Amino acid sequence: MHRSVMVLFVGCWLAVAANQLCADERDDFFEKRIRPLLANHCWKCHSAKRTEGGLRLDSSAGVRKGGDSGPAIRPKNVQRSLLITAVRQTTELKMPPESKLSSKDVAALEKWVKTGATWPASVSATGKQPVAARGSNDGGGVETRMPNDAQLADALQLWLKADSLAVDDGSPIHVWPDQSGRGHDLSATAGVRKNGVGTAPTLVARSRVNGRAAARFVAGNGLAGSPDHPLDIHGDAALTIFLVGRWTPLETQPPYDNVLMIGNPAAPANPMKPWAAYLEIDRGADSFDFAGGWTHDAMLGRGSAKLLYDAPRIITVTKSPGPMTAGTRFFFEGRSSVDVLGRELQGSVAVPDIQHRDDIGVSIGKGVSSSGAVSGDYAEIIVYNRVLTDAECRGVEHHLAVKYGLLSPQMIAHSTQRFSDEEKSHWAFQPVADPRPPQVKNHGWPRNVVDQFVLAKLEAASLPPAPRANRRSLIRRATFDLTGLPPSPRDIDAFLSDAAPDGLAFSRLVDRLLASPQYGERWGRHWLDVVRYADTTANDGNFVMRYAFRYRDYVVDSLNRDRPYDQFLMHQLSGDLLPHGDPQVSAERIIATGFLMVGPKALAETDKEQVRMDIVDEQIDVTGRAMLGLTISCARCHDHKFDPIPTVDYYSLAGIFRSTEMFSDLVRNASKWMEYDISIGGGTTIPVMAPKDGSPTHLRIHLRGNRFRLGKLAPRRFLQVLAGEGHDPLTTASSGRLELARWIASEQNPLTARVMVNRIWQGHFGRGLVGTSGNFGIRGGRPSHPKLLDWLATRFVESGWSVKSMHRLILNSATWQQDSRSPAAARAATIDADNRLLWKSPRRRLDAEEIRDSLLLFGNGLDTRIGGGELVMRLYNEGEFVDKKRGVSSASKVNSTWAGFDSRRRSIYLPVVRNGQPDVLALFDVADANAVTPVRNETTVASQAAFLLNSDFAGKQASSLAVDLIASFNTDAKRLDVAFQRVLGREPTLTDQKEFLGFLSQAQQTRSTAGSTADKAQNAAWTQTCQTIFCLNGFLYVE
Amino acid sequence: MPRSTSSTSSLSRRAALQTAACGFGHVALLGLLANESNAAPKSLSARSPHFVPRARRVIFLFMHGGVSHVDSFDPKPKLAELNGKPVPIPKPKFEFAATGNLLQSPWKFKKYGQSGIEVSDLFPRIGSCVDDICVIRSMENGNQVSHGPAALALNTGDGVFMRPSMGAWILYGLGSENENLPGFVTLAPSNYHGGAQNYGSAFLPAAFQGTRIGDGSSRFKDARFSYLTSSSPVELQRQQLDVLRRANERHQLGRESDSRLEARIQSFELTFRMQMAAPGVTDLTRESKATLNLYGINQEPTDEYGRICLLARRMSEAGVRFVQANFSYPRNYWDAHGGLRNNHTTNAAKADQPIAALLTDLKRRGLLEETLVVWGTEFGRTPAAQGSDGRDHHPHAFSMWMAGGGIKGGMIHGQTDEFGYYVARDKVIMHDLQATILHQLGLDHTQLTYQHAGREFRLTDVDGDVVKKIVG
Repeated sequence: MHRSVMVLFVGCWLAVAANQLCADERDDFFEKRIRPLLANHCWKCHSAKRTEGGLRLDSSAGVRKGGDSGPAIRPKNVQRSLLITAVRQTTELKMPPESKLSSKDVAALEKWVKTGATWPASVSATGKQPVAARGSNDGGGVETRMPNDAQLADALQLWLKADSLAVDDGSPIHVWPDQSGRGHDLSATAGVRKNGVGTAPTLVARSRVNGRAAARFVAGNGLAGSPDHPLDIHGDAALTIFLVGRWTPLETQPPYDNVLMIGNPAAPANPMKPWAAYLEIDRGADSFDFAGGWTHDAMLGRGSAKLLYDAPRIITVTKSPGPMTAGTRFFFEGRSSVDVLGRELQGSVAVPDIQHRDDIGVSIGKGVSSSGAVSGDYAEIIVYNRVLTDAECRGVEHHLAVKYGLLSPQMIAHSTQRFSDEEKSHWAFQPVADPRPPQVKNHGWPRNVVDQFVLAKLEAASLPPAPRANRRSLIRRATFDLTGLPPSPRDIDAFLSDAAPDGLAFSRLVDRLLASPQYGERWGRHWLDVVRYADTTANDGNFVMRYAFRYRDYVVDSLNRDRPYDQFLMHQLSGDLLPHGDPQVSAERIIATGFLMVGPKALAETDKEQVRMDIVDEQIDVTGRAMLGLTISCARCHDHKFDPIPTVDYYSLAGIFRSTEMFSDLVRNASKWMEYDISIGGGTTIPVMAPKDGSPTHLRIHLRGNRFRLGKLAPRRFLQVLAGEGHDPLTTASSGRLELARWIASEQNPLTARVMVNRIWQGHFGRGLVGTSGNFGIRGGRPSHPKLLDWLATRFVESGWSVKSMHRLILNSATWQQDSRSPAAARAATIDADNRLLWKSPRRRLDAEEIRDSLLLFGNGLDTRIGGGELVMRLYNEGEFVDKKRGVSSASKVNSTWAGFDSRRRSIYLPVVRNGQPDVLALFDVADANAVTPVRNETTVASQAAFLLNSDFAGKQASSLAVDLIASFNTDAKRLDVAFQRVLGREPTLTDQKEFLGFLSQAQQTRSTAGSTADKAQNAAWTQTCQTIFCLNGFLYVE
Repeated sequence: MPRSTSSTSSLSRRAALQTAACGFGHVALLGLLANESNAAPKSLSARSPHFVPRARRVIFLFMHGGVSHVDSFDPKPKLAELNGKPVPIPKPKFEFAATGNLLQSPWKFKKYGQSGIEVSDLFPRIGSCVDDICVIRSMENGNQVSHGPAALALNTGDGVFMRPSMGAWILYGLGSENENLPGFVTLAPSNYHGGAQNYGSAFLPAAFQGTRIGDGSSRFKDARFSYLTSSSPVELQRQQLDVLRRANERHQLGRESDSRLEARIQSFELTFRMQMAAPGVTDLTRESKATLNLYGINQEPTDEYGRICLLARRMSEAGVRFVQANFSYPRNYWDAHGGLRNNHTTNAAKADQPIAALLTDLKRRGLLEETLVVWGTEFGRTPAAQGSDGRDHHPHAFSMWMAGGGIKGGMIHGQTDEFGYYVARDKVIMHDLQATILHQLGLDHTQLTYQHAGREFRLTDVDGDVVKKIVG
């Protein structure tokens, strides 16, 4: 069946396309010439944003309606079109006000008006014409229509919605109130009504209709409306019925399931008086039938009932007065039964087929004794007493489709985007290759395959690699790189005196560092940068997200355990959908979804749907840039300017995220994010911050990002340029996050592994092979070593997505172990000034956390405990309580001087207060948690110098170090030696000794002269000396 | 995830900015950028003024909380006429809270100066300066009905996403005039409603962020620049810095030239100079008794904002490019949901004299011509009452004013409807205001761009028009 449907569609397209060739040309002219012209010169004052003179020139209607002076154009009449008069500037009316259009532009507008001022109905935000729009029968623009909107309200007779029922999940529905406003309520009839037999169906909150609320009927259940209060359907009745539900086969007799009956059954003595409408399943023929009486059937034919059993459905039936087969049409999700089944309706043609009755009621299932039972989930029933127009039908169907996540391919066909070959051939979208390592001339240099790729490029540029760095440099560099802390003097000594060959000694050092818990803290922090981790919501309230820290600890733990990166991503996107037998494992996975929660939120915003869409945008941004290296959120308001990411793809992803519930008070006002208790086994629960899967929703495109201007439906799916143009939308009854996670965390995805190995490379060389590590799109950087990138990505996947194995590979390479000085520097600087070819090791400045943690460490003050939430709880408890009951506490008052920041814990464990980070971190370019930080800034500004010279923090750490030095060692020379060893990882030179000891005695003398005691003077002098050492470039930069 | 670009032997743009921020100042910044502009991507084109500027500096008087326009600069007799009657026109789709019927202004309006512009009794002293002022009665701040997004839209051009603040953009565009002081200073900013984001640099280099003195929560009298006070005697610190400089120079020996290492050495020297210069600038006792009196310093209730305004003048005079003088939450706050009479009376008594003093002082020193003074608030207040004596947030129409810096004085721009509910003519949105401020500084807002996250950003996003009619 599916194949025949496809063929039919293609046929349709071709036919339509041929007829519209001429119209296409006009559309083309409009898109290429007129729309940009209007956008550039007119919309600033005449569009939705500003409506000067009451005139809008951003829609066909606006142009034709015109402004205060009347219609802007009269199609085909150039002389009488005000727009033309205005741009010609021959009268008082001169537009644009400050300039004049070129004569070419004026001529183009004239031509446009002359040829009828075609305004294609394309609703794609930028006006890019979607390929299939011409073929779809929705004419290019479908307005979603509420069933009771002004145009339909008069005809609306019955509107039953399961989601309006005030009944608990699993409880009986004794009355199903009519929402049409006409009071046609249905009730369980057993014992209520004479001859009534039906028992109450039950409400199922998450039914088989895509998890939406539904009334579940099983054998014997039945609801009926009062015959005293019939629907207003008269004469040879016209009607329209919408049904949303999903049915199951019954085994009972009689084999006629009463899906919906309108009108009381006639007395058996008067069989020629039919019901107004009767939808039934004929199990004998396995047929779905529409009856206007016992003898007047319109049948869909054998096997058609299967359609109802397969999946949740939106069924539309229209019936016009007159012959049954000619006047009746069936639709499934907006597709006509002819399209679906490939055959015409069968049935009786007796006329008239419907007789008026004034005792019409409604019945479902066993609502009356003479009807058959039914089994199925009913989500919504809508009945009108006229035939809705096709456009109206599509409007209601779209409303239902969006609401229930039931889109037919036809509804979404227009969202297909055609990409150019150039776009599709972008390097990052190609499958990852496994290139053979290139041949090199200098066989002695490479230590592993990485080096072959690097050396081949160097040799091609006639540049030699730098010599190997000495052991002292290597241990400092490796220890900072992997743990964010300096090596202790003891570690340095041990490594320097290791008798093993250089390579072996160093690889053992790497293994030891990778095994230390500080590794996860250092590299976890890198990940937190890209996922914009913070403990407060930012913006107006800056509320404390008191359980965010669990996600942070999950990240640290994952790095330390070398959790496979694909799992790491899966957990963060969809850990709540991956339950595990071990409650502790399940809990961990749920905690990982904190990824979705920790972004900034503008909770004070009064437009709550806007709040949600902004959160969705933020989630798309972080998912795109962190995991895929794509700036997807650029496509929120218009098709991506550079990358093949159309706006429809943005809203496809937005649908997935919007189908996930972020708020615990969704009914109330979406101001408190989701927090709930989960079990960690052994009868223990912990509170977490995590989302819950909501009901699946397909969103419509928000034109220019404006949620009040809705365009076409964007079915939930992935990025088409990667997953296939027009690939099948998600039909899952859950949000689709799990599917998205699988698609991202796949070795088939050309971006995921590349992006991550590039980040790891960046963590070791300061810059990734692709310099723009958050943007692998067309405007992103090209890889300096494309083959190496692919080779690494392949090894990464091959290693089971082991991040630690990548560290080993990179750190054990000769490339990484180069000195930061090269004898060939002068020449290399002229060829490759940026060192992209890696002819030496780059020098890097310590980052903010490294600086703070090191300073604490030097004075023996660093608290190295791992994880935990006590600091954030302190932040929470010291905040301003906005709502104690719901746990809303604001950190608005917290600034860099909050006492909690005086903690001696490692920096990663300080609460990240958005817009309120401590100076020691903020001044040294810590990641701004308001957005994804793929690469940190590196600034050198006076305030950093001022901080190190004059801040309490630097002073305290210098003082601790001074006290320790004075207490532990006897001579100033020894003390200076130890200070240098700790801070710089080297001994002082003779000049250093002369200078620093000279300053020390000077300082001591100055202090004594000023009246300090000898102890105090010594203390102050040593403190200032230590603080000076903190200011040395030899500390701040890693060679 | 990790780290930044590493050092290069050539002078990268970033290094150039750093160096500039480290003390070579205005000229150096412009020079360096101009030199590399050919090689740099388009988005990083030269940052010298695009045309001859009318103003060299800006002082932005930010009135936090929302000053009621119909009680200050936009008289509405119709409100008195229909006091207590229902609002006869549709209320806005977006409102912060429910409002009731129309509420007349408790204050009388008087005509001031040659121009005869009406100002309410809240601001008699500002009124006396009105011939130097251009009142814009047609401000609109989108649908920003909450303080945070509204303040951010005013200060950064966007109420939702994190964007660099206006001062940061200006500093990025023009650099600083004084090599011993930061180029962008914000006085007593609130920690709330966007907090530091209101003077942050977002994705612009951090060197362009505002330097804060004090905050809205603390007594301004005690506020100081951070980290510019040494615990060491000056001579000793000089020796310390000499030892440090020589050690860092030894470190440079044998290393290829790396602009960062040099910049860092310079940064300590700049710090030292700032330590010397800052106390002079911030020391208000150097002003005459008459000047202190003019600003209402050492008198209540004007002492606090008087200090802020006087310091703003001193900073500006010393060459600070952008000074934001905040009248801000929680100590000073215009948010009169209830108790409008008391709130606005109290606040105006604190602010009127210092603001008028600032204008007078600038003028008599001949500084007003080159200093653009902007008085602004994140939104106005509803012409309808909230409760019996309050007004709700109202971004749909409100007033701001500008003076000096090439702005026409003694004029009114724009008009609201007869109730003050909506803009009736010459609407000015935040991006228009920002475009105009940049324009006065010689910057074309469409050209002042920065490449970030794959596209070019600007303060005015995709719109903004210079309000040409008010430009002299």
